[in-house]
Amino acid sequence: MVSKDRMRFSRAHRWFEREYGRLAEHLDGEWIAVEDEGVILERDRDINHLLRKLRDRGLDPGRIFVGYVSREPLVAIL
Amino acid sequence: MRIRGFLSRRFEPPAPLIEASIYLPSMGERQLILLIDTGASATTILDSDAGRFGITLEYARENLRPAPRKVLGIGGVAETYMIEGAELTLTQEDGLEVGEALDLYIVLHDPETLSDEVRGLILRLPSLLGRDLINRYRLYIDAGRDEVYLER
Repeated sequence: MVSKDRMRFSRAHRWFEREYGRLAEHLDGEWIAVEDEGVILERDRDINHLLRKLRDRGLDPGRIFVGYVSREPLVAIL
Repeated sequence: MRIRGFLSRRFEPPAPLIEASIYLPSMGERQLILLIDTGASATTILDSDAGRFGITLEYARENLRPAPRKVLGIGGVAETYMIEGAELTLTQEDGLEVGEALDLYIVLHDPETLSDEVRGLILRLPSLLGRDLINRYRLYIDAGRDEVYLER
């Protein structure tokens, strides 16, 4: 049985991927915390500031989807 | 048994990702997205997810065990730690969950040794699902059909 936390995280992440192009138009260069499908809790250009804002609200960033929005696709060699 | 991933177009070219949750002893359960990386020996948490989980360099230096073997990677000087007895949970197509025990690597870059630009790029890197777990499955990727899954 999938927990509610996992289901919410999955919905938030799938929404982020689906809407990424639109998000990049409006939030280029920002980190966003997405609680559920379409629910952006916080945004900031600095991930550490974003995580602090979440913790200040009593939220656990480890259970919330956090993603970086950019018009530039990520090119990485790992 | 099949576990679906997906191709993310945030990457160029699109990259195979998979959703998971990770149980860390003394920290509890956390959610994350992993890049399926056949080039990575071990499943590894990188800087941005470590930050989400509250694992800072200071925390790691005081509380985590340095990785027993040297880890070679791309992306400058990094400190590598290991958390033994972690469990990664993946969700099958039918909604059932499968747990995988593993020793988890944590790779942390010291921001003071990096330029702002490099630091920003490193923070964008996702955590990695490495061959320690991939090799327990068959990995199927068909970008033309937009399909990614692990199967066994």
